[in-house]
Amino acid sequence: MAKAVLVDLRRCIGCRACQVACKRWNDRKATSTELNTDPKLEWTNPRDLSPQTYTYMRFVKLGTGESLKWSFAKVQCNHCIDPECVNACPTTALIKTPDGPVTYRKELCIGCGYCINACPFGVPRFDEENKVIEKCTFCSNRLKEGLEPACVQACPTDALKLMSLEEAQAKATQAEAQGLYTYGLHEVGGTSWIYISEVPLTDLGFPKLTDKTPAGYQTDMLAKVVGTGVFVGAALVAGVKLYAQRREAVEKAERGE
Amino acid sequence: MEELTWGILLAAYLFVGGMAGGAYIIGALADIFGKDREECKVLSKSGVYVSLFSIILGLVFLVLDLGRFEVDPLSPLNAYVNFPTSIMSVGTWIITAFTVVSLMTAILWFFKGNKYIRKLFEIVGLVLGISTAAYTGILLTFARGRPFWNTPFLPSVFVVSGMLTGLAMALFLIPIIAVFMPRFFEDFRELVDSRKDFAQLLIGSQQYLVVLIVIEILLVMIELGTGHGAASLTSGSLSAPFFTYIILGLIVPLGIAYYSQKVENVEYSLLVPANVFSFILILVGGFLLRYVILTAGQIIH
Repeated sequence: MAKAVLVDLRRCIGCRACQVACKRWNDRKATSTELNTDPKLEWTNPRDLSPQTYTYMRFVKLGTGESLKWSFAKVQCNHCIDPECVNACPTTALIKTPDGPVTYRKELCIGCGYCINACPFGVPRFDEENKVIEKCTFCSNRLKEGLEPACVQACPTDALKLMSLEEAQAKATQAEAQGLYTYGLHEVGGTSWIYISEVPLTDLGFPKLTDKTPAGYQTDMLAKVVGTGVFVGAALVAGVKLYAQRREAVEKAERGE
Repeated sequence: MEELTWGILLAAYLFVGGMAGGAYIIGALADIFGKDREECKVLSKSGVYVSLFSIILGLVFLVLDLGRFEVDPLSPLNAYVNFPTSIMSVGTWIITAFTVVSLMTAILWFFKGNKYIRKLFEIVGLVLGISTAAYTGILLTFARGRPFWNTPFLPSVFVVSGMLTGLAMALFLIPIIAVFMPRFFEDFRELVDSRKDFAQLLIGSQQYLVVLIVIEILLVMIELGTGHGAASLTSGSLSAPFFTYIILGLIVPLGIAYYSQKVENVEYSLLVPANVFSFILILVGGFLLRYVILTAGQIIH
């Protein structure tokens, strides 16, 4: 059965337990980090995902003075239902497993980087040291053993909850009806990690995306590409013909005919 | 700053890949519609040879750019697997087929093979050449993580630029081949020696250059107007290469093309160097176009 994680940002206290648990379970090295230069994000550390960082917390200051409000948002692979990276991968190294995770088989990776450019959320990273792609795996190896992902297990407030995809979608739909914001319910055709929040996720630095699935996007785009191509092709032929005719006319006129 | 996933090597690959497709298109058209005229045959041969060497060079750039190549040299072969789901796999197959057809056409030209078989290859190669050049754009258009690339104009821009650079390179190489390898390419030497025919080919080709440049300028304008965050091309760190491309890579060659035809009986000693200069600018411009678009997509959010 397809699993999902419901991320209820209203319950998040920004403790970073998920960040630490992820590092430990996935055997990711500690890396030196830098202070965030953006005052709105100064407590966000590390600043971004990396081959050694599958997940991190965004600490976002919204508003100023009296109306200042902290928002915390966990960032990781959202495990799309129909993932762009899986479609883009020329080697089938990246796969969507039936139980939810978008995972990858390192031995098939050729390091082309197309998944990095294809992912609408900017998640996959290339590990220059080991020459392979890295990203959150939804703790696929734990799910297989009936365990929760490391970050979900570590979360003390149940801001992260593992459930079936249908349940997560139902809860998010309900939250939307109550006027809350969601992320991952509609974006790129839906993801297996779904957020509920009091503020729009795009205010927290999440990319604004359409609901189009990869297949829908590609069909639309291909039609436009071919349409443009036909038009340009016709313009080329017409341009060459017209130009030749005009030159002939000019030459004739110059010769005084 | 975020590290670029696709750097200068990939820009070089997009450039020579587009040029390979474009040179083949020019070469095939010159042969199919050339009415067996000598200068058209030479242009066709030059175009086909350019396409073969460019696509091989492109494959070298491509494989060297693959992050895992140094660890597992056979890993690039995996790129054929996810066909037709992955557009990159589709492209890998297109480029492979194109390389084979380009090689066959080159062999048929070089060893003076049957002209009907050659033309048959050229018709297939024409489709594959357009597909190869267009693919370098579709690869970017389909990458949804880079909104700047998500425009339907990119494949057309790359096909037109591929034809422009392919034609420039094919014409550029004719005198060079004639001078350095006259024994293997007698017809090249004869054409260049008979100054009048070569001048006629250059002047005649300029009308195609003019049309290609004008359409490329129009497409880039549309791209600038509609692309996500495209304004940063004209003001940010990429503005220098971008304007170099527009002015030196398009406008100056357009001026030279216009001048080559306008001025009655342009001195041969001036026509050839002016054209060679223009071809070099077009080629540099073609590379800058790929570099600017490739980089812009990865830094504009």
